[in-house]
Amino acid sequence: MADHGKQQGGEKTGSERVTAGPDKRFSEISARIAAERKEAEAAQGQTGRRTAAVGNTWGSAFRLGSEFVAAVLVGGGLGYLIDRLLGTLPFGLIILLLAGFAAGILNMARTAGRAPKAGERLNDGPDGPTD
Amino acid sequence: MANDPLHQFQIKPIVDMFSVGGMDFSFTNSSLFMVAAAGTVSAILFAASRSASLVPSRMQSVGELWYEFIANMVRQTMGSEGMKFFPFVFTVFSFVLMSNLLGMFPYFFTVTSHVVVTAALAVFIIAMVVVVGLAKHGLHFFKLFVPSGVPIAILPFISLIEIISFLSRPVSLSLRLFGNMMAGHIVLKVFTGFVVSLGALGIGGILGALFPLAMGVALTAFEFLVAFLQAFVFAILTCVYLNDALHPGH
Repeated sequence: MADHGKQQGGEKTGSERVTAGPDKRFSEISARIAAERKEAEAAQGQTGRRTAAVGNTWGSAFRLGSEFVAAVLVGGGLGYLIDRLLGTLPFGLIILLLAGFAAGILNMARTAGRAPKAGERLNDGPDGPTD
Repeated sequence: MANDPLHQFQIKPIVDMFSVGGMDFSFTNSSLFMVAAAGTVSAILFAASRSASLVPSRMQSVGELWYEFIANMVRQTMGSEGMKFFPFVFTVFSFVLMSNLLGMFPYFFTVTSHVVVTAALAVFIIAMVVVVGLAKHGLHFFKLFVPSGVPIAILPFISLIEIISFLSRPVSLSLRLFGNMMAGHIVLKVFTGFVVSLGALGIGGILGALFPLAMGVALTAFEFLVAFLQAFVFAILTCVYLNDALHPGH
């Protein structure tokens, strides 16, 4: 609020001094804003990084668990669906549940950054990148 | 019934409309809060952009902060090329965030506490990833499931795992948001329900009720954190998945 008042006051004197050169006053203000912004960014960088780090640990903790569970669920569901269609009840479920378990581990490793992302492989193909 | 922690998730029709093929298209309390979330976001952003000035007003700062937060996220995960998807990511984030936050009001309905809503969002996002990937890379997109440099003998198994891993994305995306919102609201309701039941037991009960009351206050603060964090995680994963489709050689 105090800054607001000061700025308005400054503007008033600025309009009085219009004849003294508005361009000079404009560049003066721009320089001041740039300096303030740099300072604010430096200050925000530290606290911002800290809150982002806290958010990321929370986020990745939730992510790791749910990635694993989701893959096991999808594997089991897919296996059951195949079994329903083909009438081979326990086998598809068992195999795909295990595959789902493996996919869950892969998901977790990828989330944690310990395994290359799936998309990174598109480039390694014999034809190379498409775009 | 007032102490039933699941009571708050019931869907009640407000305006009976029509039903097509056994599907009920009534306007429910869930629909009402979806409209409310979209309306609140629009109202805030309208107020923020109504009188744009060099020195931003309070509302304008909110709008700028909001924009920059998502714009930075999109640029960091997808590069400036990904700004094509900025409107989409911004919409998803704003809708989820506002639904979560509106649900924090007592007697309000939490839209994102229903798996149908979050699953619809997640399936839409993954469908978009597939469509964008196919449009940009054609059938080459399916190399996502066929890693190079893997011996042909174990390739089918690896591909199976990759496919399950890809299919699990919408599941984990929707279950995480839904689970967090529903679990949080149940825990909050159970703990604050203890305050009422203990308070009815006389003076000792009232003293004892102070503990769940303190717990309720702490959980409310925690739920605000979760409401924001889950919207953030949902949006950033949208960016990460879209990035896979957009430029795979990252």
